[in-house]
Amino acid sequence: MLSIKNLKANIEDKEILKGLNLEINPGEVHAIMGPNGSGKSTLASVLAGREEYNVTEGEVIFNGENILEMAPEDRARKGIFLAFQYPIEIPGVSNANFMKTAVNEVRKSKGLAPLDSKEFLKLMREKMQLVQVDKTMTQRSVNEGFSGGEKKRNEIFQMAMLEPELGVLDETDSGLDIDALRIVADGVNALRDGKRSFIVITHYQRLLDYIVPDFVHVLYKGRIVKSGTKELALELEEKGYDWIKEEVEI
Amino acid sequence: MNTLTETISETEQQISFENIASEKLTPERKLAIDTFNKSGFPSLKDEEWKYLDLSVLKNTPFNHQAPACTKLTLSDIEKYKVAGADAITLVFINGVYCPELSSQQRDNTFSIESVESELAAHWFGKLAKTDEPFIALNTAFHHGGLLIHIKAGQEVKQTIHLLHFNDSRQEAVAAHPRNLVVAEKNSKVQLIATYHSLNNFTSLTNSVTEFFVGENAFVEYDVKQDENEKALQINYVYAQQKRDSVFDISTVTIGGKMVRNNLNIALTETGGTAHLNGLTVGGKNQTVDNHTLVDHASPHCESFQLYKNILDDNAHGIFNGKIFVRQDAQKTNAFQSSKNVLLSDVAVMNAKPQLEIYADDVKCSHGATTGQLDEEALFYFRSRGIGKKDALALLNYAFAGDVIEKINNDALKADLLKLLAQKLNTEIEFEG
Repeated sequence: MLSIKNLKANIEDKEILKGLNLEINPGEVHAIMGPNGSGKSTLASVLAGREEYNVTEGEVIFNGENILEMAPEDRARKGIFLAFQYPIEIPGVSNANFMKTAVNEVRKSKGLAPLDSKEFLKLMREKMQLVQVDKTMTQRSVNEGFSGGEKKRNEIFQMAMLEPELGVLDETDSGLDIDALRIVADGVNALRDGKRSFIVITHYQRLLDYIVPDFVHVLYKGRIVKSGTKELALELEEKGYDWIKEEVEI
Repeated sequence: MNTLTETISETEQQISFENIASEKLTPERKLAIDTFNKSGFPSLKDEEWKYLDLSVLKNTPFNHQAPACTKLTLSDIEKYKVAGADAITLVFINGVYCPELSSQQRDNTFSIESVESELAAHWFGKLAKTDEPFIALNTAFHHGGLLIHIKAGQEVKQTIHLLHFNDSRQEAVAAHPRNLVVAEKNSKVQLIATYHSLNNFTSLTNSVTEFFVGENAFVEYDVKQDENEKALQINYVYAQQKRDSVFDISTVTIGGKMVRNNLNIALTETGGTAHLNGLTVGGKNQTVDNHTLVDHASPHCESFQLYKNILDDNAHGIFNGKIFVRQDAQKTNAFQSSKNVLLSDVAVMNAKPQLEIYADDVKCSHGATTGQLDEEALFYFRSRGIGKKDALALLNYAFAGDVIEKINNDALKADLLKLLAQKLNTEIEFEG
């Protein structure tokens, strides 16, 4: 489904990704861990199409198409969803209005008729339950005045609404207490259907107790330097990253 | 070439001699022309006009006495009504009230009569003085305006819609709408004014409206300016407020080549409240200038101003807001905010808030910000599948929405949101 080959990217002439390779098959959950500054969020940004990042080499093939030349909205319409590390507040647009626009834009790109208000409300009600989003949250402006937990729940709610093929979770767990973390993880798990894939970027192994990954990768200095199964995350939690750094430096 | 100034002096001669029936040539009109000819048009050297280029207006030979009511039919008017509004529509063509195109009055909570009637003379020109050149012009040439008189203790249930057309299809027309609204004690009314134009030639709409808001009366006045790209508009609104009255005005400016709004609110007695809201969405070759003056002359009054500009291409926005708090006006609350977004590198915004405070126990604040659209927010929308153009439109709508939200009329709100979407070139339906 997703094949990243020798991906190199920089921002303001500073190279962050230095030849990253990653293969993801349908239904798989890949966790990406790594110390600060290793390039985790850059990877998420490059996949979603953030324009400040400049890809200098390599390719990202998603369902047979190289997405690197695509606008962010086209990637979203093809089924890539980024859950933001810091969801932005947008006063003046209600969550419901925002989602209705987004859902219908995605549908339009697939040649489907837009949902009318009734159909949309039905879909929204169904998805709201997944991450315990209540009605007032959908009526409020996008993320405005939301707590950290509400913002992250809102990201997962949006993902549920848009039903992507690939969800990229950029440190969705950071800043969440254990209850909020559980709600978010339950929401993600409910979206695991054997076909939808996830990249879970995280700083903490804790999240992986709740969203159990098929593979764990360690990103360091812009490359994946170690891959394994969920046990690798436990090892990292216990021993930190120094041993990996040593392995790489040698 | 005939400049406007020359036309004026010509007209003056015509007035003095044959073209105007002698009963219409009142001393007031003659005096107004004299006053105008002495001052001439405002220039960029005039502090109150320093950002506004009036050269097109000055160089166009306008007809100030164009024919009116025969120009349009009922079916022409229909699409300019506010869809779904329960409104009494009063149609003005080139400033002249056209009864045959207007709704028949349906209740007795208010009356309408000529602004030149004996009754109207009690109020006419008491606020709008001819030392302002454009008011002098209006005073000289206005014709067919109305006094709308709301009776004491009455609430007008329907909205009164003043629908203005400038018809410059055959020639360059200067229209001089002149209307008076008197809301007596304890009355309540909502008025809408919409301005439209039909142009093959440059048009000028030079509108003056005076409001007298009685004790404990409630008046809302919502203005939609949607003339086209050959239209110039100068618009004066005066309001004098008595004790415990409320006057709310929202001005939404979408169309017009050049629009200058002048709002003058006088809080003359204790307990008055005024809200002034403005939204401008300006594009190619548009200049929109909002000048406000709120005069706090009495204690315990409040005023709130919220003005927003969205400026694209080479649009030019101007906001000049003055709050004047006199010595006796203790316990005044006066707030003013000017927020502006520039969508292009060549759009220009001049914002100038002014506070003059002579009382010592007051709460006043003002702020002006001008910036670009938030790139991060734009990316957020795009990352959800919303195309760049629509994402921009949605962000602009988010920025503009709270001004439209202040309008207490769902039909007009929906109408304005539709117009906003059109102007922002999106098919997304904005929701109120």
